[in-house]
This record gives sequence, C-alpha cells and structure tokens, in this order.
Amino acid sequence: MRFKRFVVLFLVLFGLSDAAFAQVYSFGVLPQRSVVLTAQYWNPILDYVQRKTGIELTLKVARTAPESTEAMERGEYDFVYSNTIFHPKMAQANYQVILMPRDEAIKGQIVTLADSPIRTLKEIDGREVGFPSLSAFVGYAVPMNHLLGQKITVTPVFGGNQEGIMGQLKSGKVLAAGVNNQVMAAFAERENIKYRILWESPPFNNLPIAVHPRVPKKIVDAVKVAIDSMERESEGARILERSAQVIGQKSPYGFQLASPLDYKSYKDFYKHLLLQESK
Amino acid sequence: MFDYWNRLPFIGRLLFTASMALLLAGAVMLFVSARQEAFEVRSDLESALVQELELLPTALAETVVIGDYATLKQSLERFVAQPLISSVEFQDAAGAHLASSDISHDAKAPDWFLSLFNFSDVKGRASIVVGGKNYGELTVTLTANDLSNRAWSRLKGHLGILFLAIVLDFIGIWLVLRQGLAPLKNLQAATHAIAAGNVDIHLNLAGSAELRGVIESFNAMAASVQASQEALRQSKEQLQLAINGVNDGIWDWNLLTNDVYYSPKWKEMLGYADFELPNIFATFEGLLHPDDKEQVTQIISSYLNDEIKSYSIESRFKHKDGSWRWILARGMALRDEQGLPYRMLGSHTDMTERKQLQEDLRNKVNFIDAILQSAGSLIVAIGRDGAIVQFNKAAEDFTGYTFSEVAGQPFFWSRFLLPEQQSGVTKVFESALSGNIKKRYENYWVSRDGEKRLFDWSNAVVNDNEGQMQFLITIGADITERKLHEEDLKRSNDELEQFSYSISHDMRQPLRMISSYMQLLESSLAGGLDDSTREYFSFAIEGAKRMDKMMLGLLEYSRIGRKGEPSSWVESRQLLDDALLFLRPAVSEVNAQVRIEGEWPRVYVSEDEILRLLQNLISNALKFRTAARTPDVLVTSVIDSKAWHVCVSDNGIGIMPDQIGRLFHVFQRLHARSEYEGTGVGLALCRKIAEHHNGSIHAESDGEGYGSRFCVDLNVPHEIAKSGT
Repeated sequence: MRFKRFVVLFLVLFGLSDAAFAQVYSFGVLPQRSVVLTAQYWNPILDYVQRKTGIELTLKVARTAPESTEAMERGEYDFVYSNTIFHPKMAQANYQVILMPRDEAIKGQIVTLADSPIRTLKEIDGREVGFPSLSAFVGYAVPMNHLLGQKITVTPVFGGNQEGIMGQLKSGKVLAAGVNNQVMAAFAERENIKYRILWESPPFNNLPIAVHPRVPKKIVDAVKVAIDSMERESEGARILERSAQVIGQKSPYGFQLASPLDYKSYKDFYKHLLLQESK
Repeated sequence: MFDYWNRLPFIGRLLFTASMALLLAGAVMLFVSARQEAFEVRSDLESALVQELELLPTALAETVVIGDYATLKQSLERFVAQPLISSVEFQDAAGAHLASSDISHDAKAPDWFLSLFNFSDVKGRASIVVGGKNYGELTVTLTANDLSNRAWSRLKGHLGILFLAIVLDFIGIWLVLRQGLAPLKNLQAATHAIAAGNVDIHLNLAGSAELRGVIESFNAMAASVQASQEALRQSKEQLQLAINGVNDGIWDWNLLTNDVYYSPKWKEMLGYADFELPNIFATFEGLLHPDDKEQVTQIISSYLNDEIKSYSIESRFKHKDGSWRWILARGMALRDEQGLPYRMLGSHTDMTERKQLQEDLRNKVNFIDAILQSAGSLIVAIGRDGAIVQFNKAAEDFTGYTFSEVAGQPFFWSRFLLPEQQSGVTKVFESALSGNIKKRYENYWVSRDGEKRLFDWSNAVVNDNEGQMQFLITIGADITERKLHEEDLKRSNDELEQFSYSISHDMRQPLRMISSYMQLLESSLAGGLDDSTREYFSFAIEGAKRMDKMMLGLLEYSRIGRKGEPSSWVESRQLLDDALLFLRPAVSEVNAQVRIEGEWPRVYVSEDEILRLLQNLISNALKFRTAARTPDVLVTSVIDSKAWHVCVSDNGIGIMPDQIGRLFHVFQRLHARSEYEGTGVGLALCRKIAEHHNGSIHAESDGEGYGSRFCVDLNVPHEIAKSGT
C-alpha cells in the first residue's frame, strides 16, 4: 500500500505531461465560513498542491452556499469540497468522492446557549430556530428532518452560513440553532461561549473533496496523492496546521483517500428525507 | 524721511508702528501657519494613504477572492467617493485592470501657493493577498487639492482676520490713545489756562491710573493756586473794603522816601477827590491846623523815637470848603531789626460829627435839666431797683430833701407816702416793672416837715432795647387846691340840681291849679264871655299847659343820673326793639321805613335812660320829616374797644350847620311850635343821658332838606351781643 502511494506520488510529481498540468482547474468550496477565511484556509493548500504537482487549482467560492450548490449542481467546478453532492438533485453532476477529512465525522445538532431557559426540543415547538442555510446538511437538513419526524414545528431563520447563524445564536437573535457539531465547538471555543445540545444526529463524515468526471484521471490522482500526503509531509503538515488554525480546526488535519462508500450515510439520509426545502 | 516721521504726531507714529508690527507679525504667523498646515497636510495624506492601503485590501479581499469584478468595480467607485481619494485602481495577477471613475478635486489655490508650500498628491500601492495568494494590486491616489483648498481658504480667512485685526488695532489704538490722550490734552489746556490766569479749573479724573494720578496732582495744584489766589483776592478785597468801607482814611508813610499814600477816603474826608491831593508828606502838613502842628509833630516824634507806645491824636484838618474837621489819627510804625522805623501806617477817623453830637447832647442835657429844674410839678425818675435817679428842684423844694440825699437808695420815695398808701404805690411800681404801667393816679405826699399835699401823678417808663423798664418817670402835679374847688363845685351842682328838681316839681302843683281853675272859670262863665274874653281864657289855659309840659321836661332833665335806674347788663338790640315798639303807632302813621344795621352789643347801661335816648332820637327823625319824602330812618350800631356808637340818620328836614350848636340846650327850638310840637328838652335830655354814660352826642347835617344824623358815643362796658343786625 505504501509502495503504491509512492508510485502514484512519483507519477504525479514526475510522470505527468506538461500539457496536462498546464491547465487550471477550479476548486469549488461550499462556503461554510466567510469567503476570506475560506480562502485563507484553502489557498495555502492549493498552492502546495500546485507546487507539488504543477497542477494549478483555483479556489472558487460563491458568495452564498446556495449559489455554491447551484454552481456545483451545474457541474461548474472541477473539484469540490462539499457534502451537498449527495443530494439526489446533484446526481446529474456526478461528483465523485476522492478524499475525506481525517477528523471525526460530523453530527448535526440543535443547540441553545447554556444560560437559555430552553432545555428540550419540545420547548422550541412553534418558535424560531436558526439554521445556516437551506443547503446546510448537518446544519439544516439533518436537524430539520428530525424535527419534522418529531412533529415539532419551528420557523426556520437562516444565517447564510454556519458562522452567521452561530453569531445570531450568540447575540440572542435566535433561541436555538441547527449546527455542525464541529463548527459549533470550534466557534464556541473561539468566541468563548457555552452552549447546550438539545439534540444530536448520528455521525456523518465531514465534507469530502470530490471531482467532476471530466477531470482527467491522472490529474485526479495527482491531486489525491498530493493532498493525501500533506499530513505526512512536513511542509504539508505545517500548511494544514496553519490553515486549521485560521478556522479554529483541531487535529487531526488534512485529508485521506476516500471512496463513495465512506459517505453512504448521506445517501441513506436522503432516502428517508422528509424535508422538502433542502437543497 | 526722518523729518517727515518726526513731523508726524505721536498718535500717528504709534498707529503706524503698531499696525506695521501687527502686519509683519501676522504675515510671519500666517506663513508659518500655512507651512505647518502644508506639512500636516502631507503628513495627514500619507497617514491616510497608509490607512487606506491597509484597509482597502482587506475590504476588497472577499470580492476579489470571489472574482466578482462587477461588485469590485462598485466597491472602487464607493471608495473613490470618499474624501481625499481621487482614484483607486486594481490590477489582478492575470493583468485585468479595474479603475474607479475620476473624481474631480479641483485646486482652488493658486499655483504659487501650491508650489510654495509643496501641496502634492500622494499615491500608494498594496497587494491583495489572501491565504498567501496574490490576487492583484491596488493603486490608491489621494489628492492634496481638498486640503490645499482648505489651507488656502484658511489662509484667506486668516488674512481677512489679520486685516480686520489691523483695522481694529488701528481703530482701537486710535480710540484708546484719543481717549487716553484726551486727559493730557485737557491737562495741557488747563495748564495754559492757569498760565493765562484762569485758576478756576478742575479736571475730571480720566485715563489710565498714571494719568489719573497726574490729574489729581494737577487738580490739587490748581486748587492750591486757586485757594491762594482766592485768599489773596479776598485779602485785597477785605483790605479795599476796609479802606473804602470803614469810613476811615488810610495813610501809609514811607519814612525813607517821605512818600505818603493817602486813601481816597482820607482825601474824601477833607472834601477832595483822589487826584486832587498829591501823595506826599507836605499834603498832611499843609492841611493840618496851625495850632495843632506843634502838638502833632511832637507826638509823632515821640512815637517814632519809641518814647510812647501808641500813636493816637485828635487834631484839626482843613476841609476843602474851608471848615475845620476834627480828625482822630491813629498809627503804627514798622521797624527794622534795629528797631528803627522805616514805615508808618495808620488811619484818620472823622470825629467832627461825633464832637458835634457830643456838643448837641450836652446842650440837650442842659436843656432838659433846665426844664426839669424849672418845672412846677414834681419830677422823679426811679430805676429798676427802686432807687431815685432823678429828683427835680420842685421835688426837692416840696419834700425838703436834696437829690443827693434821696439818690441811690431803693424805695426812698416810700417815705413820702402816707402809710396806708405805701403798699398800693409799691404795687404800681412793681406792675410797671412787669410792663403794666398805671398811667395816672392820685395820692398824697408828705414833706420832711410834715406838710401833706395831694398830687396827680402821670407815669411813663423808659424801656431798654429789649423792652425792659429802665426808668419809671413820674410827674406829680399838686392838685390839693383844685381838688378842694372841685368838691365845692360838685356840692354846688348837687344843690343846684336839687334846687331845679324842687322848683320844677313843686311849681307844677300851683301851675296845674292855675290851669284847672282857669278851665273851671271858663266853663262857669261860658255863656257871658265874648269871643275876645274866651280867646284870652284859651291863651291862659294853653300857656299854663305848655308851662306844665316845660316843667315836666325840666323835671325829667333833672332826674337824669339822679333818679334813674342803676346800670346793668342789657341787650342793646332789645332796648332798640322796645323803643320801636313804643313808636310803632307813630311809624305807622307816617308810613316810615326804619332800618337797623350794625353790631348790637350787650351793654352796661341804665336801661331806662338808653331806652329814652333811642326813643327821643328816632321820634325826632319821624317828627322832623318832609312831606316830599317817605321817612327813612337808619339806626346803626358800631362797637370798638372803647365805646358803643349809635347813630340815627333820617332823610328829614335837616339842620342848618350853624344851628347845630344850639340843638342840645334846654328849651332851645329851631322851629316854630306851630310847625313842630315839642318842649325843646328832648335833645338836651339825650345829651345829659350820654354824658351820664361817660359819652357825648353830636349831630351832623348838610343843611336844610338834606336830612340829619345824630350820633351817640357811650364809653360803657360792652360785649358782643347775641342779637344780630
């Protein structure tokens, strides 16, 4: 296995033709955070990939998650970092998972501030609950689907992204919010707030890196190898750590090779989807 | 140049200097201020540029990362709209170029200002690097025009302020100096005025503290000068007044030059005008009486030689009219340190009139003394202490005492009085001391040898200026013999009155018998009498009746003051009303008008007599009427402090003035009995009633046909009556 990786890396680094590597590929990222934070996180990684592989990956960040999802639905990006690709409507774009994060699987949570009088889900029945966006998976689709299953009716309020709705939760604009458990934990640590988990979903692997079928396989392989190996390579590990610090991510950093099976839970979720508004 | 400068007034030089200094200082300050502002502008621009270059990449990072160049363009336009930013450009890594629109920032300041203070735009560049990726380069240009415009505007404003400050400074200095120098100007004018002799000056305090101090000192000096001059003037005036007003002539003899000043009064005293006599010693010598020269010369010499201590001498000087004037000369010499006289001043007082007065007084004294001594009456003057101060020869002769014996001894005169009269006379003297003098009284004096005689004393007092009695002068006329004669006369009158009464009373009885028997005889012989005999009988009876009436009148006349009622207080108006009541038939008969006027007092009289008086006067007024006029009788009453005056006026027949004297005699008639009935006693009766009341009666008339007026003045006690007019 290690030998195979070495070969792939060798081929990626030295075996690809100049013509193939001269092309610029887009790397679309689902905007979970602000554009700048997203760029600060991804640009060093993409720069590392370019330096390692000669493949130039240009970061593409839409202003909002729906815009990003729509672009992905249209297959505009060569590479994507998103979990919206498992939605049934994205099937036509046919993005294929190539890498998954090394960190723990994410969970959807419905949280409230620790000093809030809300202590059970029942208590949010009939009230406003914040969500990142319609396209947020563990932040909206998963918790909202659960609420529907529990016959708990809430009025969703969207914050645009995870940071946005967490900010509203912190400021008290919403009593409870549907969040990504990891993003929420990192936000709480960074902003020094305490929160209460009213409900938590089964684990979902975090956002994968997927590739559009039009990207040549050698390019995909080169990119896969370069990103996968970053955590093991000193410069790559340093870049990952630095980027992780930008968004408050804890180790383990980086990505590892993955297959669609690793995201079967998403497929299963969508099979039992009650929520109609999810994108 | 310097001449012109020196000719400028102080205020002009100060104004020019102050204004130029302010202008120069202001210009330097403005230059420094503008340069400092230019420096600060550059510094501010550079700081602003640094700030913009720090902020802009961050602000544009998201848009650049997204690659939303439309939004980026809008952002650039938004940025360039901010102050100071004139342009913002972005060029991405691929060479794409975005630029903002040019925003006009026109320079309003002139080029020289911009170049002098180095106002220029600043430009800077910054890359937009996110996550280590350079997305492109921003070029920001900040314009200095806005700030230079502001600096230029400020400079102009400051220049305006400087100009205003200079103008205000100019005006302020001018006003302050004008006001501040005004006291100096006043001071200068006041100084000139004092130099010109006008010292009545007082300047108001004004100006600065120093000037106030100077003005105060000046005022004090002016006041001092004024006081000195006033004192000098008053002194001169007093001297002149003394010279002119004291009626003394002043002379001032310079012993060294022998010049003598004679005041106009000195010369006027001798009848000369000021210019008529030369001011030399010879004038004095020439006018001095020859007989007095030796004495005067000797006294002057003695005084100058300090042999006598004062110079005072009376001598005669020749008046211009040739008469000689007695002059009292007094003087005082001024002596030097050695005691030698060098000047002598003095006065001349005209003593002529005083000497004449003394002579006149002496003559009058001698005259009065001669009268006193030659008077037949006793004349005694008594001082306040009761001592005799004057005792004439008649007094000496009667009393047997000389003046020297009685003089100076208080109440010595009481020795001349009868013992029972001493206290009464002493009271008279004490009353005179307190201002109540009893002018006349009678008493007896007894001489040294015991002769007793009755004197009628007339008193008068001599008061001092305060009205206090100084002397009581009493003149006593010896009435011893006269008193005896009066008593004899009274006794004779009483006997005569008694005789008259007896005659008139006792003679009426046989007269009535004659009348009655004549009537009986006429009746018994009535049938045998012829007309002539009957007429004789009638004449005889009528004559007897008339004689009875005359006797009755005479009887009434004699009763006046003898048999009448004693006096009592009666209302005079009531008496008048009673009289008119009795006369009512007579008044009605002649249809007369009787008017009453005046103030009718309450009087102390014999009621019957006054009633008779009023009846007689009013009755006469009704009786002696003329057929041509309705009788109009006016009865008036007037009172004064001494008497009650009653008058009865009529519009009757009147009286010839030469007949008025006969009216009040008994049995005197002015008209035939056939014309007016009467006995001729009525008015005589009125006169006697008036005299019985210490009064008198008189008649007035402008002649026959002009009516008459009879007035009675009664010296009786009276008071305001309750009854009116």
